[in-house]
Formats: sequence, structure tokens, C-alpha cells
Amino acid sequence: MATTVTPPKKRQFFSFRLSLAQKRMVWAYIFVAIPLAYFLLVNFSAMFSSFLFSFEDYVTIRASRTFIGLENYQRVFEMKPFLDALRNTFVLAAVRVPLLTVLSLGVALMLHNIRRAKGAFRMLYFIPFVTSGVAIAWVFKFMFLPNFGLFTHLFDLLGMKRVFFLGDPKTALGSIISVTIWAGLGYYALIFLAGLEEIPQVFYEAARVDGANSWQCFRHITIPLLNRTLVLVILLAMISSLQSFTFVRMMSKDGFGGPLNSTITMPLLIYKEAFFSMQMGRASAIAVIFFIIVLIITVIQRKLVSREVDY
Amino acid sequence: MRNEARAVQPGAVFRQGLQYLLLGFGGLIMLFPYLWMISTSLKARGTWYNISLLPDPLSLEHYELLLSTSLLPRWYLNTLIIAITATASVAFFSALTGFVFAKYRFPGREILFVAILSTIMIPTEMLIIPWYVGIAQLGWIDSFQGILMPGMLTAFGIFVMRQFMANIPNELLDAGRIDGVSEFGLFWRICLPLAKPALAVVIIFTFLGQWNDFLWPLIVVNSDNMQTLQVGLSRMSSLETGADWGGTMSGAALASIPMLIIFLFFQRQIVQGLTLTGLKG
Repeated sequence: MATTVTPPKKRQFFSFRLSLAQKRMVWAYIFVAIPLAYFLLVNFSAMFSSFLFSFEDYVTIRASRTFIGLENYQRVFEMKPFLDALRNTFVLAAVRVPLLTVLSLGVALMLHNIRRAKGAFRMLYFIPFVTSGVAIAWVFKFMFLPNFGLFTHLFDLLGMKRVFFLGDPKTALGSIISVTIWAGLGYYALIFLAGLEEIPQVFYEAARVDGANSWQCFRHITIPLLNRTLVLVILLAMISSLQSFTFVRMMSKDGFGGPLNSTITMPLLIYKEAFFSMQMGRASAIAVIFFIIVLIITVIQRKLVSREVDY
Repeated sequence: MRNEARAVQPGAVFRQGLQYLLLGFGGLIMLFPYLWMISTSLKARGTWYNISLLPDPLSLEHYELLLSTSLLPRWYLNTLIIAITATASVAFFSALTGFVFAKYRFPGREILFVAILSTIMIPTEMLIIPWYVGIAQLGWIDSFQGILMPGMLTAFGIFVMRQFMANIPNELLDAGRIDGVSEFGLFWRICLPLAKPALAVVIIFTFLGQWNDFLWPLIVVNSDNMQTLQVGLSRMSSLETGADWGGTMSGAALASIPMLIIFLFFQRQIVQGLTLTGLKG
């Protein structure tokens, strides 16, 4: 009975299923058509254009664009501001990332441990995340003021030698880095806190029963189990450090990384070359180099960090 | 349980106290710049250099000057228009795209999703030059369209929506299909209402990002009338501030207070959004 009926039924069922699945597929493509076209245009084709521009003699006010091969790259590496920007960007990342990681982990651990007013403290540290960088920069610029600034008064009060903060090439970058650490602390602490809350309490209870002290618990339970969060925080902090723009633009003496290029960073140099020197080609070459640096550091550091802590 | 067990241990009280002390000291460092900003903004004209936290005499004249003679109200309006438009677009398209990647099977799904996520890795600094050239060709320099162009859809939004919608049972969609709901209706009437928590996260983060965005508007905007709040604030001169740091501080306060209020109301969603990115990143 079944053998005679099955073939037509099966075919009918099969063709019905296929057309329904196809119909859904068509709908899926219709729904994602606009978003995909958008990403193609705004991200991928723009990235391609960036590579293209970097091989061209392209100055905004001139209409013509000519292919000049690697000349932009050659010239960029002979530029003093480029080398300064490269150095400053690395210094900024090398100082900011470890400090930010350690401090935010410390804050997160304390927030995790305290029993009352957790929410209030968490909020307090997190406020800068929702504040605009421009507003923060103005406030600190005001406090860093050479003669009337609050920090000058504080230094006087403590009997310390006066410092010119943003006005001195020796202290300008350090002053800006400290502001970026202040501004980022709560964000990373919150990510750590989420990671800490994921660790099951059972591990700590078991360790206590075995007589482990706080440091041993931290070293052998918290750190290994927080590995994933740690990698993420370092990665995010690294990317945000490399991309520093708002604070250096706002707080450097002339807005372009002064004094004496002591605070110029890669993003600020790209901005300056493209929109003030009108050198679109050269700026694109710097942007491409910057992109490659960000990519390499991200990949290397992701591998290094996960290897060091993971066991 | 563990907490109570520790409370009776000697040293635990001391340890708690020490942590409160450290956190309190740190919290003071976090809070102080805001207090200083507000305090200076409330000092009378020409008294900004007074080193006292309490303004004496207390004065609102900086705020009055900014709101009456400067273009700050206009900059508020511009920023609101931009932030609302971009947020609506990001919310809708992220939800729709997230829905498709969570609930449909089609050739190229994995590759397309990875491609979209990979855009997070491209630094904005690399894209601004082609963007600028593009909008210049379209004649969009110094316009809302120009400022809005790069922010109408984000990979972050799509990612959050997809993660959340993947947990909505397929049976609900099948039931809807049996009842004759259209494919768009499945999204709009079934999935979207269920994904409200994720949508709230996307909306708040997008609005926050748009409100505080600086680099791109700085490049696009030329005229005084088209400034966003942040760009206008960054270019404030003696014309707006009355050559007084109190004026600058009141501008900074006016630019940051709306976000602080939003943060107070939506703290839970913001923390949740961070956790979402934190755990899956």
C-alpha cells in the first residue's frame, strides 16, 4: 500500500518544502540587501579607496589625481611629525594600557568585594564613560592651567615644584595620558566586574576549605578564570589608546599635538595632513600604515596575552 | 552565606573598611572634576580664578549668556536631530539584520555575518578621507546628511540583536507562519517586541555615541549654524564664553548633563549592554 502511494506524495511534499525554503531565502536576501549594500559602500569600498588614494598624488584643491606608486610612503617615513606621532602613539599605548588594566582590575575587585553601596560606587566610576570627551578635555585643560589652575595650587600647597603640564614638551603627553586613564577607568572596571561575577563562588569556598589565603585565591582562581575578560580589556584598551584623538586634539597646546609635536598621535596627524595640509594622498598613506599597525598589534597581543595567562 | 562567615573573622572588618576607604578616595578623584566644572560655571563673571569650591557670589550669568547670545540652543537642536535620526535607523536596521542572521538559513550567511563584524576592526581614521571625498562629491559637506552618513547602521547593533534574537524559539515563528503572518510581520509583530531589552541597549548606546561623536562632525561641519554640540563646544571662543573660564565650564556642563541624566535612568541597560559585549567579544 505504502509503496504505491509514496512516490507522488514524496515529490509533492518535496517540491512544497523547497519552494517554501526558497521563498524564505528570498525574503532573507531582501531584508539584508540594504544593510549589506550600506556596509559595502561605507566600509569596504571606503577602505579600498583609502588604499588607492595612498598611491596617488592627491591634493584637495587640485582637481587632478596622478598615480605615483610608493612615493607617499617614502615621503611619510622622512617626515619628522610622522616619526613623532609614531613614537607618541606607542608611548601612550605602552603607558596607558598596563596602568588602565591594573587600576580597573583593582577597582573591579573592590567593587566586587564590598557589601553595601556597590551600585553607587559603580556609578561614580562609570560617569566619565557617558560624558563627552570634549567636555572632559575642557575641564582638565582648565585645571592644568599654568598659573591659576587647580593643579598648580595643589602643587604649591604640597610644596612641590611648579609644572607647566600641557605647556611643557616633557610633561604634556603624560598629562594627557593621565586624563585618558581617568576617563577610561570605570568602563574597563565594569567589564572586569561582569567577568568577576561570572566566576562561581564554589571555587573560592573549596579553596578556603583547603586553607588558601586571599592572594592564593586571586592568583589561582580569579586570574585564570578571568582570562577571557582580561584579554578583552587589554584589547579594547589597546585599540582605544592607539586611536586617541579627542583628548590630544583638545588638550595639546595648538590643537595639533604641540608643544613641539610632543603630543601628536597618528589619528591627529592623519586629520592634520588631510584637512589642513590638504594632502589627501599622503594622509591616506599614513592611515594605511596606521591600519596595518593596529591590525598587527591586535593579532600579536591577542596571542601573547592568552598564552601567558592561560594554563 | 560566605559573606556572613567572613564578617565574624577578625581582619575582615578591617579589610572591608580599607576597601571602602580606597574606593571612596578614588571616587572623590572621579567626582571632583565634575564638582569643579559645576562650581566654576556658577561663579560670577571674572571670578573663575577663585580657588573655592563654593561659588561666592552664586551666579547663573554664564548660563544666561550662553543660552541667550550664543548658538548653543541651535547646536542642541542639531545634535538632537542627528542623534534621533541615526538612532532610529540603527535600531530598525540592526534589528532587521539581526533577525535575518538569527532566524534564516541561506547561502553565504556565515561569511556575510563575519564580514559585517569585521568592520569593527577598521579604524575610523582610515575611512574619514574617502568618506569626506564621497560626501563632497554629493554636495553634502556641512549638512545633516553628511554628518549622518557613516552612522546609519552599526555592526555592534547587528551583533547585539542577533545574539538576543537567536534565543527566541523558532516555534513562535512557525506558529505565526501557520496563522498567515507575513515574513516581515514575523519580525515586526513577533520578534521585535520580544527583543525589547536588546533593542533598548542598542538605542541607548547609539544615542550616547552620536551625542558624544566628535571626529567625523568636526570634519563635515563648517558653518556656525550646523555645529553639533561637541564640535561647537570644542570651538568655543571668547565670543561665546565672554572670555571667561566660567563660560567654558557652563558650556561643558550643558553638553554633558543630558547624558548624565539619561545614564541615571538607564543605568541597568547600559551595564547590561557592556556585559553583552564583554562576554561575547
